[in-house]
Amino acid sequence: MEEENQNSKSNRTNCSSSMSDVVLGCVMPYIHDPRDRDAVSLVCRRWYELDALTRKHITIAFCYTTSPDRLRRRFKHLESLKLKGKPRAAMFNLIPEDWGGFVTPWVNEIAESFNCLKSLHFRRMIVTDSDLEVLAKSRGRVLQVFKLDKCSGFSTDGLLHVGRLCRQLRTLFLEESSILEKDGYWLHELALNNTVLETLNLYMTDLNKVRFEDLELIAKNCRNLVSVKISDCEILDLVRFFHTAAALEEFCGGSFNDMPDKYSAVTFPQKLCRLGLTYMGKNEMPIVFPFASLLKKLDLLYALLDTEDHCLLIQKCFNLEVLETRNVIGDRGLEVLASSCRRLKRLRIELGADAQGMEDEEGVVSQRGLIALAQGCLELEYMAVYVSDITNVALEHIGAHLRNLNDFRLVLLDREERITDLPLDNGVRSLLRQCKKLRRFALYLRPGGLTDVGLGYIGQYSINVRWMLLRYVGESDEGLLEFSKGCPSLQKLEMRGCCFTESALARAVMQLTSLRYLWVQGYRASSSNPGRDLSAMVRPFWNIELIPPRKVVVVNQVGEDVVVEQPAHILAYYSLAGPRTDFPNSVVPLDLVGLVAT
Amino acid sequence: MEGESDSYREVKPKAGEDQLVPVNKSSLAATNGYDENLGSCKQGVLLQTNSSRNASMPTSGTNATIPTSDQLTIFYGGSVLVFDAIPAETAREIMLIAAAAAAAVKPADMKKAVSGSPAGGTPVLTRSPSLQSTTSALASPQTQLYSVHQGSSLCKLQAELPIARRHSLQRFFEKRRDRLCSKSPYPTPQAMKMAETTKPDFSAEVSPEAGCFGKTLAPEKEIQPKVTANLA
Repeated sequence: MEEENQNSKSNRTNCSSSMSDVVLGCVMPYIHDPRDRDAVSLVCRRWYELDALTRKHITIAFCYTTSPDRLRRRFKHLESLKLKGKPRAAMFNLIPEDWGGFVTPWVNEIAESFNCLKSLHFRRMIVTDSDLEVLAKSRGRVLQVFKLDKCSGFSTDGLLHVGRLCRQLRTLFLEESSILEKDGYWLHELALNNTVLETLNLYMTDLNKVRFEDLELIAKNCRNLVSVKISDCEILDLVRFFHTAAALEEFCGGSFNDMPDKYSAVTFPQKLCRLGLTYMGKNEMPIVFPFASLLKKLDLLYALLDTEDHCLLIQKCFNLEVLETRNVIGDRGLEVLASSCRRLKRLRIELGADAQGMEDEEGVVSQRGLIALAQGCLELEYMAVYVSDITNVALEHIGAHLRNLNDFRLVLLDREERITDLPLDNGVRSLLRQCKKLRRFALYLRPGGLTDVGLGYIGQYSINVRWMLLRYVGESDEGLLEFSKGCPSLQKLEMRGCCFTESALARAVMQLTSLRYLWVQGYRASSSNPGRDLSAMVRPFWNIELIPPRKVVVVNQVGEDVVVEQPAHILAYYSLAGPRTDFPNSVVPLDLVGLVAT
Repeated sequence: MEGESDSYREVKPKAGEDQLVPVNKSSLAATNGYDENLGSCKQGVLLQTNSSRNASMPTSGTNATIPTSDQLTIFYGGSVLVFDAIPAETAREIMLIAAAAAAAVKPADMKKAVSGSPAGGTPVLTRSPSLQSTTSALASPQTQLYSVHQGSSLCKLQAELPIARRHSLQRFFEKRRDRLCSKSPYPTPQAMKMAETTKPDFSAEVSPEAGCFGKTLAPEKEIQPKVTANLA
């Protein structure tokens, strides 16, 4: 004991051995939070090295901030990696398909160096069949979790390698990926070779050639199968699958193409508590009633229910914790939700189709529904909602009641000419002030929605917010500059439709102390030399890129191709890897040094 | 109507203009008693108003519209306003007022009516409150135009940056449309029920003879310029 004391006394000045490495080595693995790990790694060299040896998971929030090489040099023993590529706006068709976010350099490094990697998650990145082949051949034997999340660029041929060689997969996640479907053999291979699968997700992939027989085989072989999400597959064909998958807790997808009364024969697995049935209509809905009270999660985003149907169903789901649906739920549906589902933690209300006849007349959400929600669902942590009308009072209610909110997103639709109560300055202030746990915040308004004062409030009261998405907020550069004096935690800022000039944007960036990523579409460009006024934000390690305006063909609500002109984007981010070297034609790096010199 | 009016000149759109483009829709919609095409509210940017925006290229829509109908359609910024049964005289009056208003505000010219569409995803349909307010204001077109003009910056900005739709949901809406179109030629009781409960205009879609949107839509489709562009 005395010896130890003497040792620690004499070593006090040398922090790296004031605690023995053995002790530190035991403690370190229990530190998981990335920010804690960041702090640990900054203490001294030894702690940095120990962190590097023991850190299990890394999320690279934007793939161009660093390089595969740097990752390998620091975290060679990594077990789990999440990489994100394209800007979030890609989910809304705003980013050119070939923009970037190629996994190839990462895959090559993984194949070569990362021997401990068990879990890999690519989000919004471009993946090729060859990448999949390389991965499967090099890491297939140990890979347990593989997620291609909203990725594109590959086909079912690539998945064939995964099915054949990744026999330890617990999780295969392909949700919303753009996959060229040649056949369904890949799933057959997976069914033949895997006995440990727990999660299979093909949701929203349009992979329709998968055979339900293979799903049955997977259910038979993988006794731990807990979550299955597929694309359109007739529910009646899945009856045997449901019988076999005894441990199933989550199911989404399927489709209803037959007479409603035929579906009464369908029984679901006993433990099923998370459900989302595509194209489920009023007449098929009753098959859910027997276990509605067991449901913890309900996905109605792709169902065909009207407001009344929502009320009927939701009333029975009093244990619901997560609800996702379209605004066809209406204020009335939200009132039912508020009175029936007191345990609700997450609510997402998406925008339905505008075309007449497609959605219910009652399908609008306004302050009425929000106030009811605020008063009824006190445990809400996540709330994303498209509203047709709004008032400050509604936001004040949210601030007053929903103290657990960590993620709040409000989109004010352009449908109505007149909004009951604008600007929303006071409501926003009230909400931000009281929802102290808020980490993510989105406010999508219209001109007049928030004054410069209101924008200043956001800056002042969003103490913990790390990510923000703002559309049509503020009135002038003054507002933005006031905003940027605050937001102490803001790391990632996305803005659309700003009235701010380039130079104000640049100055704001320099004032936002935590900012590491900025995306803007729609702003006041320099009339003479677009991009030039951004020079105020030129600094080391800060990459600035432009996606110039471009014409895009989109499909409108009635199924016709129309040409849309999309305004330019600015993308700016910190990077240790220097400027990108893989630009497509649609992206332009901003060489402001060159601009300034001319 | 377009040809008759001589208060418009065909000009290149200038940055900073508010552009009011009246157009007489063809009788396509008249067959259904309701303009389904209106519901399309195509996402094209008809009015390239860029007063203080990043440089964007002007829209290259130069399609002729099909005249002779008593329906007046006004594309303004991000909104589409439809008025049924407008006598030709009244329509001309409205256009003259618009011409005067534009001339008073700026000496700049107005763009000749072209088809193509405003950006913005807000179709103004017969039962929407906004439309009702506009039809009731028909008696005093002057007031209507002024209030629209005041909101012009809103329309302008919304036209350029409509609320973006999530890709996954877009895809779902497309598939839902296809499902309705491809219902069996002999409607099952379910399809029949759907035809009854939905609005009359949908009967065209579930009719056995017509294709997905009925023949009447075909000409409209052809008018659309085919532009090769990046598909997001």
